[in-house]
Order: sequence, then structure tokens, then C-alpha cells
Amino acid sequence: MIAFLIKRLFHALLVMFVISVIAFAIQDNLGDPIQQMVGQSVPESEREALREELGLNDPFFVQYLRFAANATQFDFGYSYVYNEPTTEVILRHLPATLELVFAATLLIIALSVPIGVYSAIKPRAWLSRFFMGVSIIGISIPVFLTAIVLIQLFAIGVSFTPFPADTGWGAWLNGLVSTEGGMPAYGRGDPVHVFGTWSTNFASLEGLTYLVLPAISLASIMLPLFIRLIRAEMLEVLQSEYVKFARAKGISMRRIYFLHALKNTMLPVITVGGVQIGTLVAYTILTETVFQWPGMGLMFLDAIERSDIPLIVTYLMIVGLIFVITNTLVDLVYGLVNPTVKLTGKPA
Amino acid sequence: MALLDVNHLDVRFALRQGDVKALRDVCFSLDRGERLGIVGESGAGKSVAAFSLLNLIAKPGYIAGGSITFDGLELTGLSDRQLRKVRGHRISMIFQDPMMTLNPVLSIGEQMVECLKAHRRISSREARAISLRKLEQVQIPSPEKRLDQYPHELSGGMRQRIIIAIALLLDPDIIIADEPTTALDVTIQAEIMALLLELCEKHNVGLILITHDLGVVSQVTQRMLVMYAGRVIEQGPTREIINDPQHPYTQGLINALPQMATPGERLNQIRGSMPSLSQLPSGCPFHPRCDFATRQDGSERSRCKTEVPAFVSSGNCQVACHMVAEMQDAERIEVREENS
Amino acid sequence: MSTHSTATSTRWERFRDSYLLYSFKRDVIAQVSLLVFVVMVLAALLAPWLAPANPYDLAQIDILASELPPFWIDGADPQYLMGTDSQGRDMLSTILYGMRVSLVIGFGAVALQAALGVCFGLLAGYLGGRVDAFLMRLADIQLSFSTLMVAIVVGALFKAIFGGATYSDYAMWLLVLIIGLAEWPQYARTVRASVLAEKSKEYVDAARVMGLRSRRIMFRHILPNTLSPIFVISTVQVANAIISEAALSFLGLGMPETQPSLGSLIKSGFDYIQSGSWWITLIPGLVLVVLVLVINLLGDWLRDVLNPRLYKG
Repeated sequence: MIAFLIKRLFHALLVMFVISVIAFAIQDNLGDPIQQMVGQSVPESEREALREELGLNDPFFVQYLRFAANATQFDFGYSYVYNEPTTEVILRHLPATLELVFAATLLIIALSVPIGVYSAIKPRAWLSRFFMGVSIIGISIPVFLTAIVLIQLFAIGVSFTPFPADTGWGAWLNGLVSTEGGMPAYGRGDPVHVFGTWSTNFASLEGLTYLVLPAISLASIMLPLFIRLIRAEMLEVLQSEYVKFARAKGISMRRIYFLHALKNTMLPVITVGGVQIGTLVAYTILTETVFQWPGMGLMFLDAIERSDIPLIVTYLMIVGLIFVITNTLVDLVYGLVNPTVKLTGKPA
Repeated sequence: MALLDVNHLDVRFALRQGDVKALRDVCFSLDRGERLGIVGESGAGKSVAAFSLLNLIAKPGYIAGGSITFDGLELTGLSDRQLRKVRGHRISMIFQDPMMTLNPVLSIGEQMVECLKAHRRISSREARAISLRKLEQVQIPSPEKRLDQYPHELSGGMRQRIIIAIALLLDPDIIIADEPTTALDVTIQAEIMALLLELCEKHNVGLILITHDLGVVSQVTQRMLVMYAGRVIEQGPTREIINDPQHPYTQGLINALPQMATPGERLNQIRGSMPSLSQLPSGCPFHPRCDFATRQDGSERSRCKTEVPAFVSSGNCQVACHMVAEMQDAERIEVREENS
Repeated sequence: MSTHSTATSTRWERFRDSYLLYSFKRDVIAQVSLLVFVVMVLAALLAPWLAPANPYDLAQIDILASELPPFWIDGADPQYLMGTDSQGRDMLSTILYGMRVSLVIGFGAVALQAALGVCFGLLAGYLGGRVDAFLMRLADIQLSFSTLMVAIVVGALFKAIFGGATYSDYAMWLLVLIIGLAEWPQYARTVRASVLAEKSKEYVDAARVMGLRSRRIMFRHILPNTLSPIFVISTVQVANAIISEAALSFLGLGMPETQPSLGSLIKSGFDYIQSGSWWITLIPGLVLVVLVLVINLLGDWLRDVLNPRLYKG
């Protein structure tokens, strides 16, 4: 287990190294801090002096080492746009994104496990076929389109029925179908402050209503994948000899499904799924854009729009760190759940 | 009445192209404490027969007809819940590949205790104590330690011992062992087989041993069935069949044993291969491979191609073969002629 | 001549008797999907002849006729079957042209991914050792970042390097490049897994013993045996590439509005959804979903039929 841990840690450091080199290369080639600091009017000789003073004329790797040393202190310089340390800008936007990802993850876990397991246990039931059909449609809808449709349906509302809407049945049907003026669709509303830069949508009912549509949109991208993955793995496990043997022992089907089979199903699901949850951060860029959710994704897109290179670089480093941490955690959880890891030192 | 009575068992697999008949008209019985061998090539239906006894055939397989009576209880019509009381409790099973049979993510102890608890109202502590005793019976070194270990920490031979211990947990009446030693190293095979035999004798447990190894059958069992293409073609006391096989197929099997060949010569093998169950030949399923489908004088025995042979008695054995039936008729005529 | 004809006829016969065709004939969903897909591809290819108007031609655009609804809603102009967008362009025409752009980028990006992925996968699997470790670690990192993230970052970089105007001019080829670079690991992993499985087989040893060169062994002997997983991935990847393109366009990192893809049509319509002109965004959205859905359904069917070893995890 110790060897396993060290190996994972080494891998994580390696990945962070690669990311930092890329991030530094971007900063080195695209960002010109002098331009930002002093503007156009300063003569070239003064700029050159400043450049020398800041060490911008040093060799690439010397500059990289300086960058890396600062990065370990979470010091990535100042944002051009906000005129404050980039880490502070990110920290301000981080809670919104993490809450969104967290809410979406809860939705995914709560829905995909029962649906996936059900459609594996009863593959021929019409409900399973229905779930499979919906999931392949779900895979085919881009996340921003789901978001737009949700806004149209639940925030703007539809009051469209093929019946005349004047009186009687038509009006009644229209009233039934209409969802006009339902959910809030833009921004975070008024989140409750917790501490520091952290304020939460989970503390009030109103805050939660702001979270509903963005979280559903974000979850919709991974939910079908998870359902299909869980179903496929479970179907395979149910064919296995050990499930057959458990039946021959006279164990109840419930115990076979939910202990014998589910535990084995979840092993590959944890590895694949854990990584996918990490990548939800990437999809927040799209969801946050549609819902004007004031998180890191929206901030990142804005930074691209305004060529705020230090902020872009910081975002890449922070997101890289989030990915690395989730991946390492996933491996740890896998190691804890899977008894075969302890001896061999690597997943079997 | 026998402990287990199987009559005219029919098992089919519902495939898109139509039903495939995996077992046809299988009849046999087993007395308390008796050991029965079921022999045949792979695909003959041995395993299907074993699994259908407890209705454990994988879908799309199903029991299409016949009866299985165990200790006065008819098993074929039972619901899964009712069958569960028999499975692992009064009839338990040992599977072929010990590497695949135990759940990799549950400890040995969990897998033993759950079996006890499924059938008896006992505390975990008691269940653990019984499990330990059974592990001692199958002669596993340091059994206490094994309870907390996971399958991947144990060798194949150890795992098969544990599976035998699980099969014995609830002191069953019958153990069905489906090729219990095929997947093991040759050196361990004999050990495991000896252990199984010893335990069955000691506790008076009936054994249905499925195997293609005629040597094992002759050492372990008292009676045997020979199966071919989903049918029983010969059955009777093991010793009689091994010493004097009647059915051409059984003769072929025994002739194919390495010890039957002259050293330096090729092994004797049965020509051709077993037909697929979906494309069975008409009449006797063995006739395309049978050297006796043509009589010695060169004339064809047309019944072999058109009619499924019925069982005829030969000594204590029963044989389904037209050739045997014809020879018996001829003998009877001869005897009658001599007498007259 | 005669040998040629017999060769083709046996190939045709082989196809006619194949399990692929047999299962296709039995699968209504696969048939409908293929039909819809073929119709959409044809409509996209023939857009210049089918479309009522040319959306790239500014002279044909009537700004007064903007935001007209489709034909089944009151206030529609029968001249514009699917209504018009905010600039007064005929929706039907822009969708047909947009589908063309999306399909070109989708197939182009997959061709690039496949070329990169197959080469890297073959190299990694066949050579092993350090090359293998390096390439697979790279693939791991890229995949753990999610291909979308990589595409967005690379897109943002390109935009920063080239500047907005140049980026728009070459958007189509840049998108092919971006999506191609972002998604090669899918192919590389699968091809590598197949190569490792094939490598241990005897025919590869035989080829090596005969003194064939590695490159020839890889491309002539091993590659053909990895075709069925490549084929299955490719269908799914085309669907993914079309979605990725739409996502990039939606974020403003894709096709410009003057030369719209389905994604940029959805984006340009999104600004008008609050004013009630939902069709500008939802009709191209629906077309996109149907296009991706039929490709995914075909991919599902292929995977069931060919049942290749796909890289898991």
C-alpha cells in the first residue's frame, strides 16, 4: 500500500510538472508583463532596463524555475483585468464552480446507480429499454443545448398546445402544460456567506432553486455515460462464475445483486467514473456560460476574451491541480475498496 | 425410493432460430450416500444436467419437461425462493474453476458465513465457528487466518478446498461436483479428489461427479452414466461399464485412453466429432461416427439412421443402441433354437 | 479481366452472406439511422443546389425580414419555411450550409485523430519500452484533463496567437486541428491494446522470422487485425467531434457567424431566446441532435455486431 501511494504521488507530481511547463510556455510567449505595467508611452530603453530587472532576459529554464518556485506558493502574478493577484480572483470564483460540480455529482450518483443496476437486472423490461433509449439520446445532446432547452422550458416557459387557448378545455390544457416563469436561470442569486471568499447556495431554499437548472444541465452530460457504464459492468458481473456459485449456495437474489455483484461492478466504475467527475470541471465552462453562473469557467472564458494571460495560466494550473487531486483520490479509494491492490501494489 | 429421482428430463435453450434441445429424456437416480459419475465429451450436456437439477441453467435455458424428485419433493415446479432452501443446504455444488468461483472482493469468512446465515438462524460468531471447523476438515493449513483472507491470496488448490468446505457447510445430502479438478495442477488433482471422496464417505454424502476423466470415475463412483449429444446412452455400475462397455461410443471412449494404446503407436480416437446440438443427425445421434452402423457383412442397419434407440438391459447396465439390441435378439433366437 | 470480376463477385458474396448485413436486415433502428444519416449527408453536400438562398451571399439577405418564425406559427412568411435568424437569413439555408460545415469538421477531425492515434498506438504497442511509456502517459494526462478541456485550451491559445480575425478566417481548419489533437488518445489506447494482443500471436513471429521490416509488419500484418475496433470508435468519434465543434463554436472559439456551423447557429440564436425567437437556436439544435443521435445509434449497432475488444477505463 505504501509503495502504491508513493507511486501515485510521483505520478501526480509528474503531471503537475508537465502542466506547469505548458503553463509557463504560454506565459512566456504570450504575456508581456512590461506592456501591462507601464503602457505604450515608455521608451524602449526604459523597458529594456525593467525587463532586465525583472529577470525576463534570463534563460528559459531559469525563468521556469522562478515560475515554479512562485507556483508552489500559489503566486502567479497579477491579473491584467482585475489588477489583483490571480489566485485571489480564482478563489473568489472557485466556490461557485465547486458547488455546481458537487450538486451535479450528487445527481449523477443518486440517479445512475439505481437506473444502471435496474436495467442490468432486468435487461428486457420496458423501463430498462426506455432508460437505454433516453441515455443514448442524452449522449447525443450537447450540454449547452440541454441548458438552453431547460431555460426555454422552465425559466421562460412554454404555453404552447395545439388547442385554442381562449376558454374551456383549451385554456385548461394550456394552464396544465404551461411552465411559465418557473425556475431562476441566470446567476447564483443571493448565496449565503460562509467564510472568506466562500458563500454557498446550499444554505437556503432560494439558493437551491438557482442551483437546480445548472446542476441538471451539468449532470446530463455524464448521467447517460454512467448509466451505460454501470449497466454494462453489472451485466458482465452477473454472468460470472462467482455469481452463479453464490446462487448455488442458496443466497438471496437481493444479496447477490446488491453485495456480490454491485461491489464488483463499482470497482471499474470508480476508476472510470472518478476521472469523469474530474472532467466535469471542463464542462462547467459551457454550463456557466449559458447560465451566467459566476464561477471559474465563466471567468476563464472572460479571461480568454480579454487576453488576461496570467489569469488563464493560473486557471490552467488550478484546474490541473484539481484533476490531479481527484485522480489520486480515485486511485486511493480504488485501492481501499479493492482487496487485490494491497498485495500487488498496483490495480489488478 | 431413491433420494434423487430424475425422470425424462428435457432441457432446452430458447434461441432466436428456435429451441435447441440440450438434454433429452434423461433419467437417473441416486441413493443416499451413493456416488454417481456422469461422463461424456465436452458439449454432451453433462454440465447442463448438473445445473438443471437446481434450476441454475443460465438463460435462455429452461426445463421443458420431466421431473426431478428429491427426498419426496418435486423440484421442477418450485419458485426460486423455494429452491433456495434446497440450494447450498441439502444439495450443494462444487464448480470447475476455483479461480473464478469465489467472489474476489469478499473475504473467505464472509463467503462462508453468508451461506450459513442464508439457511440457519445463527449468530455470526457461531457461523464463524462452524466455518472454521469445516476449513479444518478440508485440511487447510492455519484455517483461522484464511477466514480473513481474500481469494486472490490463495492458490488454486487451496481455493478448491475452501469451495469444498463451503459445499459441506450445511451437511448436505448431495454434492454435485462439476469437473472439480480439471482446472488444477495435475499434482493437486489427485489430492483434491481423494479429499472429496474421503469426506463424502465419512459423512455419507451422495456425490454426482461430472467429469470426462474415466480414471477418476472408476476410482470414485459406484455407478455411472455416459452421455452423448444431450442423451444418456449407457448407464450402470461403474465397474461393469469400464470392464465391459456395451455402447460403441463408450467402447470408443475407453479405447481412446492412453493406456489402451500400444506404446509407440498413435492413440485410438473416435473418428469425427460430436455434432452441434442444433444440427443433430436423425436416428441415433452417434450413427455418423459409429463403426457398427454397418453390419459385419457390410449391410447397413437402417434403424440407426431413422430411429432413436431405446434402452435395453445388458447385465446390470442399460444401453441405448440398436446394434446391442439386435445382437441380443440374435442370441435369444440362437438360445431358443438350441433349446428346441 | 475474368479474374478481376470473380474477385469482386466473391467480395460481394462475402458481404452478402456476412453477419454484418444479416444483423442489419434485422435491426430496424440501424436501418432508420442509416437512412436518416445518408439523407442528412446528401442534403449537406447538395446544400448549394437544395438551399433556397445562399447565406454567405450578403446581397440575398433582407435585414427587414429578420426573426420571422417557422411556417406553423402565426406571422410566418411562406418564403422562409423554417423562419429567419436575427440577420434575416433563411434558417433552412443556413442550417443546410451549417450542417455541411459541421460534417466536414467532424470527419476531418476524426481522420486526423485516427491518423495520429493509429500511428502512436502502433508505435507504442509494437516498440514498447520507453516510447510506449511516454506516449501512454501523455494519453493518460490528456484524457484525465478531458478532451473538451484540451480542445478549449488549444483553441484559446490559437486565438491568442493568431488574433481573432485570422482565427475566424482559418477557423474550419484550425478546428479540425484542435479536435484532432485533443482526441487522438482514444485511438492510440485501443490500437495499442489490439497490437499487444496481436503481437503475441504466431503470425507476427513468423513475419519477423522471415525478416520483414517492423514498419511492414505493423502496417501490413498487425493493422488489418485492429480494424474492427477502429471502425467502431470512429463512428462514436465522429459524433463526439461534431459535438466538440459545436461546443467550441458556442464558446466563441469556433466558426464565425458569417460562415456558421450548427454550433455557431445555436450560439447566435441563444441571444434571442429571451425575446421569444426560440426557433433560431432550437431548430439547428434539433438538427444537431438528430445528426449526432443517428451516428451514435449506428455506432451502438456496430459495436454490438462487431463486438471488438475496446479499451476499457
